Amino acid sequence: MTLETSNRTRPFAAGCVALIIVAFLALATAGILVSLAVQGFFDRHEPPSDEVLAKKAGLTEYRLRDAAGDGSLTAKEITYAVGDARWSRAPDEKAVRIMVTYPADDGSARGCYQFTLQQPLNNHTVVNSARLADCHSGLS
Amino acid sequence: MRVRRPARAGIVALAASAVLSGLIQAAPAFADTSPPDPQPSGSPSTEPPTRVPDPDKRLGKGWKTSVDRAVTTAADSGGFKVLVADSEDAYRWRIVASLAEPGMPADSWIGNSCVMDRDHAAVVYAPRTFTNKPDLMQGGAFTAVVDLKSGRVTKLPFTGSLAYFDPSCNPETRTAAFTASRDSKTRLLTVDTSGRTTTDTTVTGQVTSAVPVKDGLVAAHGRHLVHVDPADRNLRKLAAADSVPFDIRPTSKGIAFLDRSGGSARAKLWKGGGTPSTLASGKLGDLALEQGTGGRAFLTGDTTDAKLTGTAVARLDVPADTDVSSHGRLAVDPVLMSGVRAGLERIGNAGKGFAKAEPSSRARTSQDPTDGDPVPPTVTSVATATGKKITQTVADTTSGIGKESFSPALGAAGKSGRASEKSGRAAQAADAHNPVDTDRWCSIPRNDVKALALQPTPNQVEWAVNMAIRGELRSKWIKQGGWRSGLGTVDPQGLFPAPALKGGGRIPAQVLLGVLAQESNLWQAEGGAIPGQMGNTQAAIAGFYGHKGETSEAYWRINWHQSDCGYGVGQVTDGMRLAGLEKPGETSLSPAKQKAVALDYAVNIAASMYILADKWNQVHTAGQTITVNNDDPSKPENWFAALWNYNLGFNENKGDGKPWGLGWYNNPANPSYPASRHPFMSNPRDAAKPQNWPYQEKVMGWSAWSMDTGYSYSSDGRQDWPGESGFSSAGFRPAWWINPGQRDRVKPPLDAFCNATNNCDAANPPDCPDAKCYEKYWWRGSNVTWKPNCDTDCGNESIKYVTLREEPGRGHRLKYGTPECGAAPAGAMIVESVPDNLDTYSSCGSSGTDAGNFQFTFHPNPAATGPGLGPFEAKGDLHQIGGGHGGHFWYTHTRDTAHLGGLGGRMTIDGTWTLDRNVEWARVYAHMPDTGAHTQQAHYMIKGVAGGDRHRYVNTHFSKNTWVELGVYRFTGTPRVELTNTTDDGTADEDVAWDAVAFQPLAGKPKHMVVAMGDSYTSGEGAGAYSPESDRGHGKSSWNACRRSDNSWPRKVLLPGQSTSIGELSNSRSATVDFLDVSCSGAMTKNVALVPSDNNPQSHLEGQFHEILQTDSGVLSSDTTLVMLSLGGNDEGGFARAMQECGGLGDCSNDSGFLPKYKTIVDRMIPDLRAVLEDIAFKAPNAQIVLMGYPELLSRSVKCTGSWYYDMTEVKVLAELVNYADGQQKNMVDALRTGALKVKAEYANPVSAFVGHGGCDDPEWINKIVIGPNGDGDFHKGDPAAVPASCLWGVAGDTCISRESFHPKDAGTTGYAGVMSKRLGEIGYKGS
Repeated sequence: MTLETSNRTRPFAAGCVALIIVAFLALATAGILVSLAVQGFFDRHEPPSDEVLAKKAGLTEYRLRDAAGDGSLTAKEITYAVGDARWSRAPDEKAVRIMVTYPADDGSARGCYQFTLQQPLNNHTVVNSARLADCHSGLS
Repeated sequence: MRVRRPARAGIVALAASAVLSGLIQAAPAFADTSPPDPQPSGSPSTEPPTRVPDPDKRLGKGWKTSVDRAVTTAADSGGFKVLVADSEDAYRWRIVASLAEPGMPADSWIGNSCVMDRDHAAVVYAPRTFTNKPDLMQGGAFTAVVDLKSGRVTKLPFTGSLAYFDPSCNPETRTAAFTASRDSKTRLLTVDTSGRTTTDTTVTGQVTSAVPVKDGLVAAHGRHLVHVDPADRNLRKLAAADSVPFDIRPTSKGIAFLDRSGGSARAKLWKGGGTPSTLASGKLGDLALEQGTGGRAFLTGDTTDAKLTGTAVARLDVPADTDVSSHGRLAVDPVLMSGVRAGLERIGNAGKGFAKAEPSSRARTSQDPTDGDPVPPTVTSVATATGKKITQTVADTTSGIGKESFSPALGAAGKSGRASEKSGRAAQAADAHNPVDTDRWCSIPRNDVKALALQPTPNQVEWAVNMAIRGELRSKWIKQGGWRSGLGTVDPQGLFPAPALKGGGRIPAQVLLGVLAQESNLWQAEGGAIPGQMGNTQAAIAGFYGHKGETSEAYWRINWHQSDCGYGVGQVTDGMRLAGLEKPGETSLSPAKQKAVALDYAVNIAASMYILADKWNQVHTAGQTITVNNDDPSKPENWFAALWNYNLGFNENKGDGKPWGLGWYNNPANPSYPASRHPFMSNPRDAAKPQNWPYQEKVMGWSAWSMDTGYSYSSDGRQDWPGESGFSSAGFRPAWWINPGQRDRVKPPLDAFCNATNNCDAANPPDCPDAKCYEKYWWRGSNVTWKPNCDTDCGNESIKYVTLREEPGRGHRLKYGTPECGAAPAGAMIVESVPDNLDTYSSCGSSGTDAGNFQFTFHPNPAATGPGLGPFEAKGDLHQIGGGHGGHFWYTHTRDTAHLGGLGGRMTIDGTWTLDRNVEWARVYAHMPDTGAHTQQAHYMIKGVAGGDRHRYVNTHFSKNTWVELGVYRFTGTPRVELTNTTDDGTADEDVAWDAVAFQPLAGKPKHMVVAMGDSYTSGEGAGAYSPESDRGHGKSSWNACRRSDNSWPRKVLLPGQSTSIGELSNSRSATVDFLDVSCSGAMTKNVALVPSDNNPQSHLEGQFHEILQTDSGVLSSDTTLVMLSLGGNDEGGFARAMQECGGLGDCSNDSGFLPKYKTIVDRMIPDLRAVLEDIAFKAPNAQIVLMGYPELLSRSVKCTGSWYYDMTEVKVLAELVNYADGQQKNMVDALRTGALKVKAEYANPVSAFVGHGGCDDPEWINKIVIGPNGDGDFHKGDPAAVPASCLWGVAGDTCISRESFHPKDAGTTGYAGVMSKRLGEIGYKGS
């Protein structure tokens, strides 16, 4: 008769590995849940495409006003102001009119705006903007 | 709008990969949060899921691709709800429409519906009390077509019946048929899905269960299935049946219908000719036919012999009373909303030994009766493919559609009502400032501050009934004085002596209680008054003003000549008109009796009992005796005829040989009621469909099963609050029977009141061309017996107050509704909403003398001229309650111009408080009562102010008695405050209250008049202790999560020269500092001011909720010295989406497009932010504006378990984005300051102060992930606004990630405040 020196019914290593696997799986599950939950928490409805377009136009207006402050409005300044949009300019003695076609991208609707800056340009210049029903041709 | 859903499909796999690759260093740990609310306001963790869990297993194969759609309805106090769920969405229920008529009072809205096609349902809906009025029940309900996809409601220009078969739909023709029965004729209308009337036919006789078919309608007429040709109004008999056909369903193989034969029902199919074939049979009530799509019908219930082969009828093994989905995949049980007065659920032992009943777990959670927001209901159903039972919570309960416009059946304003022929009394001149209707025809006025009724507790009502039936409701048991002071010594049964019943005996308690339950919900005062409070007498408003749903060209038009003047708990009408203006044959009671009946529930009960006894005696008069069973009056069943009489009246035997008896309308055999109905209230959900039972069966049902009032009181009047031991919301003890079977037989057989005497055959009801014809069907048999052993088998009353005793105590310790007495800002002068020295009979006593007066202004309907018409219609929607400050306030509903509000509108009410002395500088407060004040945009106008009137919009939904500051003003004229019920969002279903106003004189202008506005970083999201009006109603249409915190940084700022924080100074109502906060968690620039990119509301009204634009709220003026805000981070979801992108398992720092994309969003935000600042500067031209920036959220140097999902490289990129935004904001502010407008704007940058205090730093100032919900406005599982994935913690207990995540903690707002305090010093801000 052999004296039983341990009540262990399986090798120590096997139990340890099982424990590690269980712990690891629990950790992995928690990790997956956290990841999904964080993603979900920050999930937001995309803004309406017209709103994004209007924000683009607002940014153009903002930058044009800034740029006009020094009394001139260069093509480079306009290009910066409109971002990735196409634009054309129709200057006259009384006002600078800039037509801009914004592409449909990044959640934004396609649309055209006309920006009007009364001459002379200075740091009091007001920029008026209006969305156009149709986009004009001949934009640069 | 498309919801942005990042590619989650691979996230799980990626996460697992990340785990395996060692990205995750340790199990996530979460930021410590504020201690848990000891009484969490969130849903219990046992709330069922919104979608069917494990749908493959529960719904069976094909659920994902099926186009099956389930539609059901639910009665509710806020409107009749239409609920929709789609198979492809795992039947996630959403409420698409809530149908009600704006402002029309109703304890609950009931109705019926049917499905026209996949996207449209036809609906009839009406207030519950319409079922007490035969004319309204048979043809006065409102009708509509609901677009199930968009929720759009098309209200139809006609009214219909509430009968169980109305409306009926045919999905093949995509039409619905509506029925209205009047004057022995039946009007049948069909409409298409656009709501266009396609046919309109009136036929002679009672036609039921009409359903549209291609060439007209098929219906039941007598015991025949008939075809109705709209062109010639001919009824063509199609087939004979054993009884009145019902559940008529057109199928591709013919017309299927149910036919009753005795106690059984047969499903039959008429194939276009010949005799209908029998498809199946079963017990009546256990078999039903439901309409399906594709020319099919579904047979539900219990049957053992169905032969359906070759028919278009499919068998579903589900209960008969379920709503079956379009393709038969789901069978939905009736839904009961928490707002409906349900039956009790646990009445065992046939009512014997009943002691108490606790509310179900779904019982109402709010005890504020003026809060109409529904608790999300639970829907139970059976998946027919698997037989699995399913329990779900409704996900989207936010729909308000259907209450937003009047039914065209109510007509347009301006058309003339019918003038009365009667001019017994010249109408007194109506008064535009007096809330009392001085031109009324009913005796006791509404809105009279000297005529208030106590809302009794259910105990008081039951006690009064228990005493009255024994003739002991006498003065010696009544608590005299107090609220009864104006009534003299009250002796109810001295005024209305206990009536003697012919033949002896007395009224059983439960019969009288059943009448009171059906008539008034046991209310003596209007429903807005909580038991224990005073309020307007419960004069059925329609009855008081003569509003007539089916005939009035405009509901609110006053037709005094049509007033029925029902008052109080028993809706006593007899003798309640003013002397000289009585109804034909009526004699007015004495003024003292009228007053007592209207104001004192005990007297009202004595009068009700008197009337009920009179109804009994009428049918026990020689020559016109109608008895039931053994005629023992102690048995509830034996009151069946008397109750029939109580509701419908009695056609007396005048001895001239002409017919006499009880009218056909309430005869149980009338096919307007489903032959298959079980006893009313044997299922607690029956309360949602009262239209399916005649009046006397409803009373029997209440008697047998009682009601759940939602409130619990001890006999001394102490209110028990939900959750407390001893809570029992039973309205009264039910009667008891020897066994449940006998209790179920409280309802007589259908043909019990049919015999040769009255020519009635339940199987073949009358076919009458005119009213006279119906006379022969009046019930006049001398006895009806359906319980031959009534001594043992009939019910027995159960007396709760066996021992004669003094009146139970008035309700007190109210969860809501206890007035606030006296407390006011120090030194403030109060102007109450009632005259001086008026006793409002609240715990506050007399109103005393105040510092001014209050006056209403009503605006007449110019078309309302002539005898019997009243010009001031808005008085009908004005209510007074014994709560709020000093124990009295008024409330009405908010309205926009489309809802008859607006400047000078018919339903516009303006109330003005005027101070009776002059002050120069004063801080003005309005008191908010804890009930009756819900609008989030109460529009106050402060008058007499230097520079002109000032507007101030306030969120009033505090649900507690509190003073709310309107602002500090310099008065140069008489100080006045005006509050109107006109709001931008006024759809006549939100309450606005006139309580007290206080003027706190100040020695001069406060040195600092500070305003906080902006987004969550200003409101204090994340720091806890949110103001209740800004943290409530998750998942409801009134949701507000602005979450303005007591710990917000603006409140912690130390102004230059001050050693006490702004918040503390504000709390102490300092003369030096004034502080107003309108910031709102989630706000974008467009929620603060008008911005160039437009002001479309965010989804679910996030960031603004129902509040007004922050810069339009009236907090800004030329007196303002400092405006502090943070704003812009939410625009286009910029910061959140960046965090989302980096929080994924990819590396956003490796994405070259990441920063440019989000910097562009920042760039696009700047112009709108500038517009906001310019608007602030315009409205507060003397104020210093300080824009506060955003900190870096996560530590750049320390990594911790709470931020494992952000790599350090990602943290750096996110920090760069924050710094970019701060830089752009600073540049913009600098440009504003130095530009042409010279705006007094400065920028404060918190980044450096937060270094070492970001998420994971120690001490940590920024929350990482916070597990919520923390507060009632926080995201809860199932909320429409909560992205389900963020609630994945449901596996661990139904929690969601809180809005507090990634926001400054209490320590963070302290740090923020330090930044602002320092900055104010740097820029030399000194106040004024």
